[in-house]
Amino acid sequence: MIPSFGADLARIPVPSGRFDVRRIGAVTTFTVADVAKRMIALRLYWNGGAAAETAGECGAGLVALRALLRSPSRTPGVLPVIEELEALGVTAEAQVAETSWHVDLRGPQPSIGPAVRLVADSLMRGGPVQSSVTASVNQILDMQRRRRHNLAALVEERFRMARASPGGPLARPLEGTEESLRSLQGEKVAAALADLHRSRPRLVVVGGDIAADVAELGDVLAGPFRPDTPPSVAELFAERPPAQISVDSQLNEQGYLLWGTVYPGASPEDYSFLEIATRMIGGWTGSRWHGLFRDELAYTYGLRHHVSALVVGSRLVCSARIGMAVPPAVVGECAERMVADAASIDWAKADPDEIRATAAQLLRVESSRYLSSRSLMTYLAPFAAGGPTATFAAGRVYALRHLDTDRFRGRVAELLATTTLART
Amino acid sequence: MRRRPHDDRTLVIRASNGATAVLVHDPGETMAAMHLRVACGSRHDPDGASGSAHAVEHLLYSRDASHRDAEYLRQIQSMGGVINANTSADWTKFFTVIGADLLGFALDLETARFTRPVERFSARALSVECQIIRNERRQRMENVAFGTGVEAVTGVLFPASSHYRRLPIGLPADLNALTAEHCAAHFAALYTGPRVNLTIAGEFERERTAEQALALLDVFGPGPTPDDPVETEPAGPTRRIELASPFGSKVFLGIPLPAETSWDFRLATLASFHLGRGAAARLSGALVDRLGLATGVAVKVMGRAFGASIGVVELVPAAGVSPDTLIAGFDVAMFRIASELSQADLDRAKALYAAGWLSDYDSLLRRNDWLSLFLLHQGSVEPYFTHADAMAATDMEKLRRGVSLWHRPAARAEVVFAA
Repeated sequence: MIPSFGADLARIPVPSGRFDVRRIGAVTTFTVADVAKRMIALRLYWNGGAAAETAGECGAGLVALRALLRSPSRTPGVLPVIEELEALGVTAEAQVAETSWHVDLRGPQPSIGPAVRLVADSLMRGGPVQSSVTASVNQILDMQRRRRHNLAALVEERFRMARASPGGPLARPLEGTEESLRSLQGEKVAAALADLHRSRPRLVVVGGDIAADVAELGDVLAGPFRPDTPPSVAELFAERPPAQISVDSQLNEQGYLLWGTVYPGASPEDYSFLEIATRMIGGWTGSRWHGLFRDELAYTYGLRHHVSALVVGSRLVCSARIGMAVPPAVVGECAERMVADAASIDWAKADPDEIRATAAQLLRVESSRYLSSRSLMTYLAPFAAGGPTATFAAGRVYALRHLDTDRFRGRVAELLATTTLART
Repeated sequence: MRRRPHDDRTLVIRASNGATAVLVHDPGETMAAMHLRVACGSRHDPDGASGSAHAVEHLLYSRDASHRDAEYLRQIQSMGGVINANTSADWTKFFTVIGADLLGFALDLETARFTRPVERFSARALSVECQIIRNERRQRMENVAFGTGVEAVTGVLFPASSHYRRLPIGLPADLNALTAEHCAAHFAALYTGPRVNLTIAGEFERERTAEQALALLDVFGPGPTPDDPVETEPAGPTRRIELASPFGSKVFLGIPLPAETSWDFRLATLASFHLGRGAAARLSGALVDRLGLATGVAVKVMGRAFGASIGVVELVPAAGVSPDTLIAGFDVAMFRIASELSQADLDRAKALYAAGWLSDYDSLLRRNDWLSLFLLHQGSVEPYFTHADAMAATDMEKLRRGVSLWHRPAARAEVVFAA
């Protein structure tokens, strides 16, 4: 007999989501407790990101980090840092997010210490070599071009930009525009790197404890640091986002629709409520839209459900989206059905058993995030920015375990009050 | 049933119908993963019925084809489990990851699912799944820039008589012509004991899980020992086709590699790390950075167990560079890469390979995949546990051989997309 789920959420086994937090020199280190893997994932990050860049210089921080990795390290050596890292079996990648820049390393336990020392070395360079800057710019432009040829990725980006404050830093590609990227030369990149160094570095470690290896990094990245001055939520996100946007694409063998919301000022409980609600709508094979658009109408191969959170200062911004690819001829029909169906749901009368069963699924799925250091890093790193959200993961689990279905039923309508549908 | 304890944690089970199972107990894991591999894939699709194996995979998850009320997908997901399946040229695989305390329920559901499912294959279920597969094909291939490149490569590289010529997803016309009876016959003929392997890894109660694993293996009927013919490697000459594309130019090179059961395939995979993995990938370094002939290079390996595997090199020409110039540049670059191999290159390739191996070990699912593959190909799981050491002992000569396997200018497929 299949056990009845949802009856006792508090007893479902879930990893703790706890961080061990330490200050090692200037570096604040968040190590995921009680997780031991053969491959360690490490994220070195600085607050700032796309939100901290002007239109003319957007992308400079990312280019600076990528070019640095492609340049030789400070100590005498011929090989670029990234090649030396790969010789250790460590992969490295620099990325920009809405409010941070980061360098991700991933490699075997014995290699991570030397890898951290290599990166520390390279960060002390005054600036990357020009040829690396050019190569990094070309790499980013190529990536953006490929993204335009991926319909789901294109619509996701347009959705994000539509929910951003008009003219604000998130209303453009996070990696920079073609104009800003092509304008980047050595001095601008060096200035971006110097600016990045004035932000206090933080380190998230998954899969093992490398405190001893981090000590050198802490000595190198010594400051002085400027105080964190995060942007306001109003600067970044639209107060009145559009209800619907159209996305043009060369790709016309299929259409794509993405429905969702971005809710600033959320709590871990709100995040859990959004997760549950959107999972009920289209997040698993038993959801409303899976049953309708896949099983009944056979319009789609599958629905994609994504919930994410972003820390802006002390506030948590939650985004929940459901997307699907369908034949072009039915895009209009699907758009109407999605909007109408979402609006028709009376959350005040949602079935408590279904709510609890969905929460139980989410608690159980939590463990699967811990299967690899990479998947766990992707999930936890955005929440390790300090402040009230440092214990976000644990807070979210707590909210699910102590789910109040009446609070859920009273809150979800507000969380989903301003949704956007992006469609081709 | 014969059981062999491999070591304290690993148990190999062989059922009387020829099916096998490997159980690897990992105390401390909060999850368990199970992986059912069936030795049938698109290479068993008859002519005119491409996509059969893939359609059967879909039918086994179809709501209409569910066993009583045990709708597998929903039940597993309602328990917070993660499931997926995959049909390749040689295999059809079904994976589930679930909380360790729920593995028993998942095994019972899986047993129910594979108990005479053909009785539930209906025309309606097949019609729905074929529509979904058509959407899958559009999503993965037809609506992706150059998404049909690999399909074009296999169509050019392999002769008309080859079972590897078509991709598992199937051609639309063939899918439209499939019948439920055909799918039932496919299942009956190919989902037999000797073709089935189950791997379970994670935390579980050993005796009980072994009993349940055996119960799952026992639902498959007896059948002959697989005697799938081994194809010879495609010989030259090099064949080329040109296709129009609204997305600009791109070149796909399809290179025949050794079968994945061979050590040479491992060397070719090691060489692919040297050529195409990471920021220091040598082929990218040559064609993009040094020669300026390309803006993008990708190197991929597609293993095949009973014939030639396929190495695919994807090249995006730089502005103003013709495909012919780029292909010529590729051949020049390969000569240079082979002649300039250094100890540092070997160390880097081995380090990246080893890291990939460790990463797969951390993942319960990918570890399961490898365990079952080693058991099927080599009759034992022992080589899995010693593989990393064997690769670490690779010397320069072996890497050179691996690189040489990628350079076959007289026996490859060239697919050129042009604006």
